[in-house]
Amino acid sequence: MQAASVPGLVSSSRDAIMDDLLGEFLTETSESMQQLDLDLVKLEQNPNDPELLGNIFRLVHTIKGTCGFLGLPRLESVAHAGENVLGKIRDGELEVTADAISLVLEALDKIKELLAMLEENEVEPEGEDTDLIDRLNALASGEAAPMEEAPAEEPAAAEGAAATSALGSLYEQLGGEDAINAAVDLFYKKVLASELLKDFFKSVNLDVLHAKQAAFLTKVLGGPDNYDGKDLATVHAPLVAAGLSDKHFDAVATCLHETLVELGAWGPTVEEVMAIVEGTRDDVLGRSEAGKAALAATVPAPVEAPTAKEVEKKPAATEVIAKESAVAASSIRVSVDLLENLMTMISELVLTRNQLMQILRTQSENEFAVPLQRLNLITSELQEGVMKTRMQPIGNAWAKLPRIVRDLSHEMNRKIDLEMLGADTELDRQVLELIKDPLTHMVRNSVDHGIEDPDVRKAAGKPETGKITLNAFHEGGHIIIEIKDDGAGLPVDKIKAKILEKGMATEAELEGMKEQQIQSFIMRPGFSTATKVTSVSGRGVGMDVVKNNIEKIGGTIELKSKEGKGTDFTIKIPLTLAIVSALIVECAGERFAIPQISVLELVRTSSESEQLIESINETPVLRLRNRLLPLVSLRDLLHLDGDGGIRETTRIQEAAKRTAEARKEAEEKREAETKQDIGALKEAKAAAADKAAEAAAAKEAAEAVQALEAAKAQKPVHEAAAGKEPEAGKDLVDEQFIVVSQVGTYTFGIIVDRVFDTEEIVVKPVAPILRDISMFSGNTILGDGSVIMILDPNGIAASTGETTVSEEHLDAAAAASSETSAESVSLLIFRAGDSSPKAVPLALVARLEEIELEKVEVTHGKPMVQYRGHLMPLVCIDDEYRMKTEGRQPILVFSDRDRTMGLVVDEIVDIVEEVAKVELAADLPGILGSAIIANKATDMLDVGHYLTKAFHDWFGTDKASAYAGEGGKRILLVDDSPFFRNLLTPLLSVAGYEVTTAEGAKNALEMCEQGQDFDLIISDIEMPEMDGFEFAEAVRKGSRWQEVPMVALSSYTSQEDIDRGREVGFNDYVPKTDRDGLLATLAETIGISRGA
Amino acid sequence: MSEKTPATIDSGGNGTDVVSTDTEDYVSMTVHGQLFGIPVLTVQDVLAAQSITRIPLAPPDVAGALNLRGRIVTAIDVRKRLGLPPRENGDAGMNIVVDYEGELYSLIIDVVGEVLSLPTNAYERSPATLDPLWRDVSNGVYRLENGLLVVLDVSRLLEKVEAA
Repeated sequence: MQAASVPGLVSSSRDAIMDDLLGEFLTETSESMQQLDLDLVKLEQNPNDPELLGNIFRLVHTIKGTCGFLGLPRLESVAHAGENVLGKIRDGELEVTADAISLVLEALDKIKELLAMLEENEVEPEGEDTDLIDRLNALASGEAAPMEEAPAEEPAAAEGAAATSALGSLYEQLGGEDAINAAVDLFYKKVLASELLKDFFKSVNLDVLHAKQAAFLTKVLGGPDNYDGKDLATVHAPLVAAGLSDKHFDAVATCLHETLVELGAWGPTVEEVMAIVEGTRDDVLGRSEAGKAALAATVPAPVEAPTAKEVEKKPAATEVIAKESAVAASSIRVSVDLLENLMTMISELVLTRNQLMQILRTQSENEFAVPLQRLNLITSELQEGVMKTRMQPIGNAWAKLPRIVRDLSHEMNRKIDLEMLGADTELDRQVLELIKDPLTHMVRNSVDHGIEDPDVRKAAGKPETGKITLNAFHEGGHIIIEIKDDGAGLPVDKIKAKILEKGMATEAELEGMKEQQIQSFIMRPGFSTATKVTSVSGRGVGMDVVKNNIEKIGGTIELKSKEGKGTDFTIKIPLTLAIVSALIVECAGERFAIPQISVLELVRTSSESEQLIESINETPVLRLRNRLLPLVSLRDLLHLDGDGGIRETTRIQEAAKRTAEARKEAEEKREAETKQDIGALKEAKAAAADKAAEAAAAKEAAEAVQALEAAKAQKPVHEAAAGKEPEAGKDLVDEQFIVVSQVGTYTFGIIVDRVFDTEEIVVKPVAPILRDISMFSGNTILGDGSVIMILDPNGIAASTGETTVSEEHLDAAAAASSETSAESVSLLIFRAGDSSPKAVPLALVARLEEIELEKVEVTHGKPMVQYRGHLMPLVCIDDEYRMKTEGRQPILVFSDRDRTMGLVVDEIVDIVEEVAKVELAADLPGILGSAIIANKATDMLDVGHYLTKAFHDWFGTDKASAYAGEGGKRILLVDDSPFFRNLLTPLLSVAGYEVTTAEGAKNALEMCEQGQDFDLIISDIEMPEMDGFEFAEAVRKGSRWQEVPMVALSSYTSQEDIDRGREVGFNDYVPKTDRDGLLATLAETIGISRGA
Repeated sequence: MSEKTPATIDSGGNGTDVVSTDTEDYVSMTVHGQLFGIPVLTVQDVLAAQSITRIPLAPPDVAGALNLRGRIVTAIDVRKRLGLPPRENGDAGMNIVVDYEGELYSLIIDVVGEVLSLPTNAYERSPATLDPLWRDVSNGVYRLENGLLVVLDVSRLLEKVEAA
């Protein structure tokens, strides 16, 4: 298109069509502007990227052209001046400097400003931008003769000479070696396609020619000189010998000319190149004796010079255009309102579907069952589809950041790299809109407060250029966004001083706080550490606003900072706001939903279970994994029951009393159970029992959920209002559930009466008159049609006081678990049969019992004893072993679900924590081998052997399986320790899995290659040669097991390890000692992967 | 809100007015024996007793939330709002659903009556001696043959709940 365009063409007939055009122009241009901002900043960093430059040039050119077409002279003139500068840069006449870029950015800002006014008034604003245009022109004419127009299509004739003189530095401009290589490649492709030429070039070794050509070019263009020119003659000799003639030479030249024109090269460049080519004619054809040897190769060589330049620039541009038009053809613009509307309708449809499904569930036979199933399916797909239309890459929210960082870093004289990872991670546009500003603010903060000045950085031994990294990725239905900088970190002392100054905490309180807690104060309202208000920060928004905004959309924000090292923010937000997964709980006859995002686990408490609510001055707490978990009673919190507050307190007091009693009772029972006087043993066992109970807690809760679900199904549709007690008062009165929730780093438990299942709910805002109740984040309609309120864990946490006294919980837990490192396990030492001590992992033993031998009965020739209402077979350590006939005999009870087995032993010796290393493998059945335990050689018992002895079908059949549904699932167990392999194999088999073992990662990968398939892989982490992390990486990196879920099993369970495990591709991470945890995880992981 | 009943007031005020509406349509209802009315056009729906979810911590006038064909409606107990004793046991009342600033609210009253076309000249401002609580939410009174009908101002009724 003619650059000067045709302003008057349409301006006379501005009508409705014009308005449409204008609207489209505005939309399109504002998109281009955003892209330009990004690209220009990139260009500043990579001034030699011709592709980028071409892109920028094209965008500005398009804007200019469109402005001309629409009759917008003011916009056009600014765009034109900007284009001039870019043109010069593209042609290598101007260097990419910060100043040049700043000026171009300024021009873009002007364009944006004009566009904004245009959008408002639909008329281009009056006025002149002569100052800006003059400066742009001055810049453009800085080196070359002032050229008013230098767009690609309209080269000035004078450029030719300039280009020739610039040839010396052409090498640099082209982008060095890569560009040359690419150019040579392209040229040969062209030549080989020519009928006339291909035969010639077939006869030479193209690889050699290629290398020589590139070297030659490098020399000609003034690059590093490593060209010796000699071999070229030999390479070209066959060509000449084959009769290279003027005709051929012309063909090569035409070939080149075509290429250049096709690529849209610049007129003078083409001419200049052709001239050079012509000049080499004689040499190439061997007519010039002197140049014969060296210049035999020149034919293609000069040809490359411009090609190289164009190759990098033009094809990229054409490709982009092609791609874009393809996209344009297959996509349409739809207004956001329409999509919103559609989404609302879908939400309703989902609710109605849920209702129908609920009805269907209560009726076993229904002719609607099949169509309803179909409706169900279609609705789900529809929902997914519509959700997708709302998804946008998070990069959209980031688009402005490079420009902001660039501007700020220039302003503050800091060097900053902004790295953006996972920009294509998609999330709901509503969420996107809401996090845009917080993100921008945080990046701004990182630049302003985070990254230090270059000299400070240098002094601190850091690279001068600071780095800010944005990373977004999906994790379990959420988006995680990390904002990291390697700057100064948060100064704890300064923050402390500020806290004291503002009276936000006392010195004594601060004393007891951890660094992270103190740093978290920056997210409190009314806190700002910047001593001076710069143009960057101090805009009236602080981190508290950021935190608020994120929490408003159901997200969480955490910060980790190390002074001098940098700061990491981690934001976790839901994928979409419209539909969330929530746990339904009941309290005082009312049901509530708690968003899954903040639920960590469920704990059931009752006077019979190990988990008991205790109280300190009427404040309920729970011992959870040897930590005290603060509890809030939903009943109290929401003033349910009117007098509920009082009643609840009494309930808790009662519970506490019961706790005390129960504990005493338990003590007694324990004593009675074992009658062992070894204090250590008792203690250890208590500890072990606690541990087992903890592990069981999660499982228990899951069971409870199932049970209650069944109860719910029978329960008639929720009664209106009426604040009556749950009807099951008598047997449930002391049973309560604790929803362990996490808000930020604050973990607390919410006491509820019952827990139902989880449901996908559509969050609806509460009525305006209820907005000030901070306990609710919304309400929703359940599948049965009833309305329920959605609890807001943030509000609950805030209302119960503290939100920062928190993370020692996690930290300590992590520390505790890492203490028990190095494969140590609790082993039960006992004697049976011969005098040598025997050991069995305590985790496998369900109970220690003492039986009266009189009660032993014999059926089918096997000794049995009635135990808890069932027959329990007794197994002896070996066939020779004879039980006593009277008195009492200790037994070890192994149990799995409803099957129990008693192993008869002589004496229980001790419980020890020991690194169990089986040193001698034994051939004896029932013994795994020997290990040194408590300084004595001890036989390790093969429990699996005895289990099969008691029940032949203990392994293998699904009937014995606790997780019957998972029966027959194949599991690969990778562990270098034979002890653990032998320990876990029976355990997993008992649970109904088919287990294959591998002695190491190598071994496992061999199996992979051999084509064995598994439903799940369990891998140890600490292994020689290749550790579990490496193994997972190898598996995930495109092996045929890529999709197979993997569970890491390790004695190291620090948060870092868990994170690392996730990173390399483990689906879950289970501590080695957590037997029930492992089984639950397996069932879950297999369930998920199958469900997916 | 004052625009909501201007026709009534104007035509009532100047009896000679030529405004074509000589009558206004009201949905009548009974609360604690008293007849009330709200302009028929403000009413979205009339429902029998619904199952209502209580909303803890809400103002006492708010009875809870109910599901009206997929929309969540906040229910206001008019008896409570007017400082009347609660309904007798077992009487869940009825719901009149109204739209207020884009949100749906349900007014729980005892019984919904019929739609009455009331002559504008039977309209009068509420007596000055009326309980301030009532005066606050009523626009005026219609003199009917067999009693008085108090016109409820829905926006005022809900506004005050909000403030509570």
